[in-house]
Amino acid sequence: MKIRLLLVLLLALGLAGLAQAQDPVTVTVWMHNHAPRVAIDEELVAEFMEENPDIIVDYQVVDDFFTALQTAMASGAGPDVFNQFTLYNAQFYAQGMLAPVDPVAMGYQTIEDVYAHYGEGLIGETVLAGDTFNGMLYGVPTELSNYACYANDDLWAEAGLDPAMDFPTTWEGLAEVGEMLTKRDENGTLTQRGFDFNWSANIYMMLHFDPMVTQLGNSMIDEMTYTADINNDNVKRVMQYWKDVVDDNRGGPQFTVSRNAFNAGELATECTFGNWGTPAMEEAGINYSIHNIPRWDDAVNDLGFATYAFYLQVNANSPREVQEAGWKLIAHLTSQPDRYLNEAALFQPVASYLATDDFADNAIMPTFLDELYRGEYHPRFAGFAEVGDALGRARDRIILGGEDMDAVLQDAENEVNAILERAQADIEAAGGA
Amino acid sequence: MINRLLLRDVSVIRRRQYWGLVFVLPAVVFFAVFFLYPLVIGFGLSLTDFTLLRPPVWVGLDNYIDLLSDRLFLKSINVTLGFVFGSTVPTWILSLLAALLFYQKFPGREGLKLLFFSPLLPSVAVVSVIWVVLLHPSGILTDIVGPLVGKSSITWLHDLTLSPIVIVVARIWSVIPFYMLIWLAGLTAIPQELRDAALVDGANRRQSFLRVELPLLRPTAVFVMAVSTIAAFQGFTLQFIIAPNQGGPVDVNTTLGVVIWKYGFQFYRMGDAAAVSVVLFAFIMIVTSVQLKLGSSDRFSLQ
Repeated sequence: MKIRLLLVLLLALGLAGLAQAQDPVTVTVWMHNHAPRVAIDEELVAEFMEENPDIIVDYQVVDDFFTALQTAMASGAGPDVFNQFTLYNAQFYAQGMLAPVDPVAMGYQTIEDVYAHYGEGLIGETVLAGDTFNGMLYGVPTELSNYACYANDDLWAEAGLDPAMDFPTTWEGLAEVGEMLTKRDENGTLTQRGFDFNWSANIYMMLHFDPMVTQLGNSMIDEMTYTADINNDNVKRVMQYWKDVVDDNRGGPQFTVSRNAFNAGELATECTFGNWGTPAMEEAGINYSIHNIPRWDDAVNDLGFATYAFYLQVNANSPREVQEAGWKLIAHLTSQPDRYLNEAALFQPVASYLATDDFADNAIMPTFLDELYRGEYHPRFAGFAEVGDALGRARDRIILGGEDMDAVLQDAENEVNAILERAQADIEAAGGA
Repeated sequence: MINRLLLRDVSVIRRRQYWGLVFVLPAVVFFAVFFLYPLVIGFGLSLTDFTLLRPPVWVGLDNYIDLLSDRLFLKSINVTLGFVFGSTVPTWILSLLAALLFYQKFPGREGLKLLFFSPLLPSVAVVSVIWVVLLHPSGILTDIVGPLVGKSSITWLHDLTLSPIVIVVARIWSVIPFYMLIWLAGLTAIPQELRDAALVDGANRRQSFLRVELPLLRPTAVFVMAVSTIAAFQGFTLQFIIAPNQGGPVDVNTTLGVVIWKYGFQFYRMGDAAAVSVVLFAFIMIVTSVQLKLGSSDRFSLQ
């Protein structure tokens, strides 16, 4: 009797376990809004759920994405899978919010296979460096961006220049060519800019200005030690270059934002568009060509402007089975890079796709790929926006306010070091890495 | 008998009071949920270190003490006070003058009033975008002002001195019609007999205005001053949209409102942002209380 009862109990427990194992896993996904990408995402998610009936995907497009995600993660109510800007990855990593990539759940054998998926050896490491911390990978890119220079071929031709032959490879050369392409009326008022920087957001101080400094030596920010070195000769040289643009009446922050001006045919050369910039140019009827970002003639590092990306990541606080389902979903969401590039102008640099005829036929991407493989991501640290704000203020004090460069850069160095110190203290207080 | 009547009256009054409470209850609940609760929570947050990286940690008054040496906060107080004084006083005067103009009867008055009122119709964001276009270095405003100052290009928004002035001008332009309407309502409420009596007593139009109408406009003036000052202290949208890099250049347009946004939603320093909000609230309360106190005299009143 006792044995029979025990058998019944075991059977019941076994059935309960089986039922539990068959309970579908729900994966909540948060993505920022980008209509062309959302359409593809939704299709792929539907496909995924059909292929995996044991996984339910709750796909949500979230407005005010960064604040909402940050708040939700801090309160423990974050999604299981989310895409996140590399600008904020360091903060999430430091907080222990990111789960390391699970290669097996994604359908690979080892983590090396994941890197190899994006390119052999150094290439894979370079591509995935945006979400690699202490040798550990925490996500895969769903939208990778970097910059190249666009020339308005018609405006260059008007100045007797051929971008294919004459596009300068150095910043010194670009200053000269920029002047040749600049037009002023009889009062000296600019009617056409030859080349101008993008002054419209302070984070560009990290994405554009800082790489120009890095070409000459080291970045202004050391992401490992959380310290800043800003009052040095390299920064002064780059700052002087930016200042000359304004002082020589070739451009400046007071004019129409460079991207808009380029698409309006008022700016001959623009260097802060990604590959995603071309649809708007074509719509505006701009006849363009694409070129590498210039380097200093005595540059010690061969890199253009900073690489940045959105990475698909998994919440480290989600249950184990949800994390596995999440990585499986991420593998599916990144399995069709051709569609994302062709339909949404978003670049997922999967090595096998780069070897296809479809990619070979793409006239826009080669320069961006070249810059991607030679370049590097922006420094990754908590407090990115605040540091960008401090650097933008320093730039404006020098260029618009005419203040002494040495004094301002020292102020900026002190301010940024204080920001980094506070950010690091916050991370440590929160028990982060 | 008298006692019974009194008791009945008291009972009626109590019933009416209950009904009164019932009627105001929705408004009270609305106020409590959407104003009082956030206010209390905001004050609570200001006493914490909350960076959105982790749950809030109690730090007492540390955030307030830190603000005393916070460069951006201290600068924003100057910017805010400059914006408040620069935009409110001219607004009071110009809107009153506009109201006096439109109080007169002249051909085309209604059409002109409609035109004058038009800046109020679009949102402040739309108004801001219009001003961005107007203030292009070689835009329409430069075409008008440039020849007078001998310049073909004026950096309205990127000149550290000119930029805050331009923002103040944009503000005045956008709010004058609203306050003009308030003044106009005040002027209309003054009985015509009083003006007629002043004229009969030998006062001219100017004397009638200064000695009769202006004193009777005191309640309207208090309202205009209080509301416009509160709104100016909360200045944000113009500085956010028109000023380069949200409050720039070099923070010359960074009002307390912009600091709250930056600290809260750019730098994720929610505790600091909440502390600045509380300080701004205190500023507004103090200034408004002083204004109401100064304007509370009933020496001149139609009541």
